[in-house]
Amino acid sequence: MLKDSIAHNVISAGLELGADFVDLFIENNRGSTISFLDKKIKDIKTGTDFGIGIRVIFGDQAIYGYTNSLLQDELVRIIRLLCALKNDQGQLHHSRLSSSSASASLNFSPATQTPQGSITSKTGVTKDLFLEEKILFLRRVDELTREFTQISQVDISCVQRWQNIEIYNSEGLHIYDHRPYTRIYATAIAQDGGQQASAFTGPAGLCGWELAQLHPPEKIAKTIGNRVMTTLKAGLCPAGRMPVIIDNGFGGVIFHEACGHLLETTSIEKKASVFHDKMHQMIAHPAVSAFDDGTIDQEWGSINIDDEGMPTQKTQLISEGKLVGFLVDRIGEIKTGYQRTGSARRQSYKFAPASRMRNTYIAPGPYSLEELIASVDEGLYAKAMGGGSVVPGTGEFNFSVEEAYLIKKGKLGPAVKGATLIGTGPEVLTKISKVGNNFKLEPGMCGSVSGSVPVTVGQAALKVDEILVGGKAL
Amino acid sequence: MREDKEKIRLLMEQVLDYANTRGIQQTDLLFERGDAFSLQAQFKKIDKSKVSSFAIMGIRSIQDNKTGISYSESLEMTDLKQMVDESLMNAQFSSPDPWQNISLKNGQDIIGVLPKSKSKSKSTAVSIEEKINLALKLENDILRADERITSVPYSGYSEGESEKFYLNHLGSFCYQSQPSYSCYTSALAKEGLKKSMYFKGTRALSFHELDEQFCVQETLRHTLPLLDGKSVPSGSYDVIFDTDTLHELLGCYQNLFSAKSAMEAKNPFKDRLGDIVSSPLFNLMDCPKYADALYPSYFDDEGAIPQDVTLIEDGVLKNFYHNTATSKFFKGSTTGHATRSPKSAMGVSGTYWVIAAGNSLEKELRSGKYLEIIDLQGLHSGTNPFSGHFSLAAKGYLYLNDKIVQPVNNITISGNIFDLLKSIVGLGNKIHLSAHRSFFSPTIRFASLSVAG
Repeated sequence: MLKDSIAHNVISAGLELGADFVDLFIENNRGSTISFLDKKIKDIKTGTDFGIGIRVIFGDQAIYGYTNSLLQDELVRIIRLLCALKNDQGQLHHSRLSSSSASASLNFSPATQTPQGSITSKTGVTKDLFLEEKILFLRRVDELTREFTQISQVDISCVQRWQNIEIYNSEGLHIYDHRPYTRIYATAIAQDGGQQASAFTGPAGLCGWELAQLHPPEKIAKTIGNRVMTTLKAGLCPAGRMPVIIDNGFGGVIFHEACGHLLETTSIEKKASVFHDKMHQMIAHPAVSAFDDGTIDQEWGSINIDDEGMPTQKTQLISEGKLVGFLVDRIGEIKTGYQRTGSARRQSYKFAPASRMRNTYIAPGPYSLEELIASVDEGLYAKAMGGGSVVPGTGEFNFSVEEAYLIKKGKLGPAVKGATLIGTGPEVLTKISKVGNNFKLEPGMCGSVSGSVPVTVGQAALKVDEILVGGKAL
Repeated sequence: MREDKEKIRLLMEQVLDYANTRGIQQTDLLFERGDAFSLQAQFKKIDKSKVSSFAIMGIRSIQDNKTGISYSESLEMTDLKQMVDESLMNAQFSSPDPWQNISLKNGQDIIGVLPKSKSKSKSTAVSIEEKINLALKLENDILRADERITSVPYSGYSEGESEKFYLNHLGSFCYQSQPSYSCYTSALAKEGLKKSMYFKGTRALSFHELDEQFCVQETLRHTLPLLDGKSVPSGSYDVIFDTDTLHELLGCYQNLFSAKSAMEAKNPFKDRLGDIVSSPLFNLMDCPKYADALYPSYFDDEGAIPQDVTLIEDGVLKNFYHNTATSKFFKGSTTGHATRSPKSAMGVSGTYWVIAAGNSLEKELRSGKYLEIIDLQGLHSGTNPFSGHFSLAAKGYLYLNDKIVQPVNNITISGNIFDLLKSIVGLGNKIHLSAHRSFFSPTIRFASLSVAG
């Protein structure tokens, strides 16, 4: 996408101005969205995002800029602007390489595609379809969902994008990758008199339209149809502290929010994480082992290389309760001394990379879901989770429950709605006492300092001995 | 305003000419561009800086009542022609939409640039050292305030200027330019095992108008007391939200006033026009040119001039906000609330919400026992725009007769927006501004919200 000679000249300009490190992130992102509402096509959108992100690092300070231009003059103008900004800051770390030695190392190897065993190459050419076929798919989801009674609206869309990235850096790296993303969004709304309820599912993958084979219309319609009818008729959730069984798949958002964000060096480097000084200490119940793995075939949070060009990894975060790893990007490595983990990610060229989660999960344990439920005298079974958020500095997290049932004397009771679970990461990690064996990953979008990136969360069902449940029934 | 504004208009005209040669019946273009600069302070030095510029053009094409959308971040004519062609192809596959039209023919151009009296000083007059010093001062003022403050996770300054151009096939042209200056800070405090964190930001029309001490003082005002925060017993409590928090909560239910959402059967208020939907004490308007708002809204995203809209009057649902398509569907007139980005399809959205002042004195509202909520977490997931339910983590203070009994955290508040709007006990007689000057409300006391602690 960018000529080697231009990349060379831009990076050289940065090094000559004293930068310790320079990288260029070139992105061409081609997207297509078809929305289906009210039994017909609502709109069809296509477009191309294109831009170049330029980062210069002086010591441990990063300065970032971006432009839509491919022209050398404009790129050099921007890198000079960025470097001039450093000169004005006047208080920099001085352990940088001399510009001459840095320039000498600037010798790009031939462009490398993704590493051996690349995710997309494992499955062959990703599949795309003509618009008509996608429209037929969406129409079928709509028809099947409307077979459930009391459905007042169905809102579905399919989003595909093809992100082509190319990275050059002042260490001689030149690498590129192609990332196909496909996601189906489906929401059902049901109405009963003045009461409305909604249910959502959003299967996704680092793949093409073959995603639809794994998630045919029947499966999608059944998921949202059953859930919305359950929620519509559900009673109010009771409030208070109680044991909760959080089921598999998107239940993993509890670990994502309660712990995952707190293990990103984006927070660690600022000492803005409650876990910044807890390496090799017990931070969770011994039943908990957790990973962040960017290498899983076709998963939504997978990548071949991260957005700094490093091959991604499987990173163990917690081993039987002990903290053993952080998620580390280049700046995080400089500031904390922990080695990079191929976790630098960003939404687009408009964001500097930051350490972010990929596919994050708690490893499965020995229990069946039935055994977990049977172990609760009085509590809540959270079958489907919504999203959540965390304040890294305090570890305070929250997440919503989309579909839940009361548990009484080890047996499932009536459905309830409007539940939220809150707590702090350090507290809840020690209260996960049992992990089940029905492991599953599910996709979501994660927003943080470098924008919104695709991730998966996952776990088998697990038992939290006590957590505060927010609900309307008192 | 940049000097090359006319060049952009010419480029847009060339794109429309090409669309015309392709036989597209109705077309409009949105072009947005901007520059931004930001600084973040960390550990008493500038930790991160960002310089950016962007440009994007989006097209909406309507052919035989079918709409197609496309966009490009490249302004090369070849790419822009491809954008036009794609919009036409997308339209061919769309379903007919009898309501959507590109029909606004303004008699003259609409140019929206802030009057000089509102924008007192230009960024160019401010040196980079002053901006760096501001970011460092924000952090330093927090750090030196109390030894229990261990770090300032987020503290910085940003500025930018954005421009929006609109042109349709009927020749209607609109342009607006907006400067933006903001700063923010935060504090993380620790005392033993107790931790507390709070964040505050603000915006202004110029660097010199930024009130960084507001951010510092508000951050300190809440971070330190909340170190001693604890939960309250589960039960029903009267609640007052601070202005920013009320804005965040009500903002999650913007769809209740969206005519598009009503047209698409996704709005729970779709059949409720003329019905009582809140306390009779409650009056809500959308005011695109509200005097205290940071920026007026000069035109909407299909070139119409935004109008004030009464949404709720004395508790009765009076109107939705409309674009031309929804107004045609509902047999009314557009309120000038069309919204879309170059990348998105046409929708509607509000501008500045203004809740009318009531008759209660502040001390009357703050009598007896109540919770003041100053922070809600999980708004994106803990609110449901269809059912109206919410269940959210909250922080604040327990009051008795306007005196703080205890700081409160580790609680949830749960309810339903429809019940909440009907549970208003009283509204204060003075309107307060949100920190970003985008929401305006008196103090409102709500009765009997479910709290879990």
